[in-house]
Amino acid sequence: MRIPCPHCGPRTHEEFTYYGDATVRRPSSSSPDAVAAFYDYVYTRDNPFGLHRELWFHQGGCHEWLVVERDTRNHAIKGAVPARDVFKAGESK
Amino acid sequence: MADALHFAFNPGRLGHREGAPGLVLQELTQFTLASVIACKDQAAQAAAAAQRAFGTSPPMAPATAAGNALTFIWSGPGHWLALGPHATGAVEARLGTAFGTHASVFDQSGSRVLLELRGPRARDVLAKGMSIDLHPRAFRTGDVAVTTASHLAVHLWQVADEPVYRLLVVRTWFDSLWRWLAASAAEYGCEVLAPAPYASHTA
Repeated sequence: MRIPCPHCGPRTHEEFTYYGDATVRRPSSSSPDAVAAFYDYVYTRDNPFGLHRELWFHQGGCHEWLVVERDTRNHAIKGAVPARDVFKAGESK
Repeated sequence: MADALHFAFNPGRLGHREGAPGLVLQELTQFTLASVIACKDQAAQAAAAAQRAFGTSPPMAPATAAGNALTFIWSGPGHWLALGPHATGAVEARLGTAFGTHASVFDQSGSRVLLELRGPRARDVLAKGMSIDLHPRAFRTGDVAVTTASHLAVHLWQVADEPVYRLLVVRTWFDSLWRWLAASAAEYGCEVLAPAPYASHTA
């Protein structure tokens, strides 16, 4: 599996650490249902069959966080973008 | 700092002994190394400050940029290593003054071993433990890769077309890297030269 790092170029997945679902967003701690919302945020995950957006950290390279779009059926990687751009743009699911 | 190769191997020929060595390996010593990390959204300002102080702009892509007194080696977005000959008086202070509030500067001089690799099989030796494409169509003089060699994090850059590479590895990992390098180069023959003081250009 090769990940196209937007900073370093294509690299083997061994240079990266997987950090899971990139679509979850930290809920507000002041909302009335904060406990339930945090339970979901921390523990509840979909198990998608197909394209999935996930966080990978390029620890063997540029030390940047990436949002990688990966097909869970065949590990085909559709693209990778800097996570900071995704979160700056306020993108959600 | 003691020469890193001192505990590894003395100068001489290793592995295959006939003909010219496939790899010529030399440790470069007496250098100053500092990390320069731009503050949030300040990479452009940091680059401008470097241009004023050192006559070169730190690269925004994986490459090297040679300026007065030091070379910037790309290490990540807004993150560089500044490498130069050993200088008494703190280079860190000089860098700190130059970058002001645009970047954080930390002395890393003792943290890395710097190697120079050349010879007709240098590319083949590196390819045994590196997953990046070192073919000239993909990696050329002036290019930098922050990657792994034999599972160890390294900075690798090419300084001449022959090719000649330079490689920085964390000092305490050097022993592991050396074992891999010596084993990988054995079939081509490896000439280990006595360590030499750092110079930015290659002879």
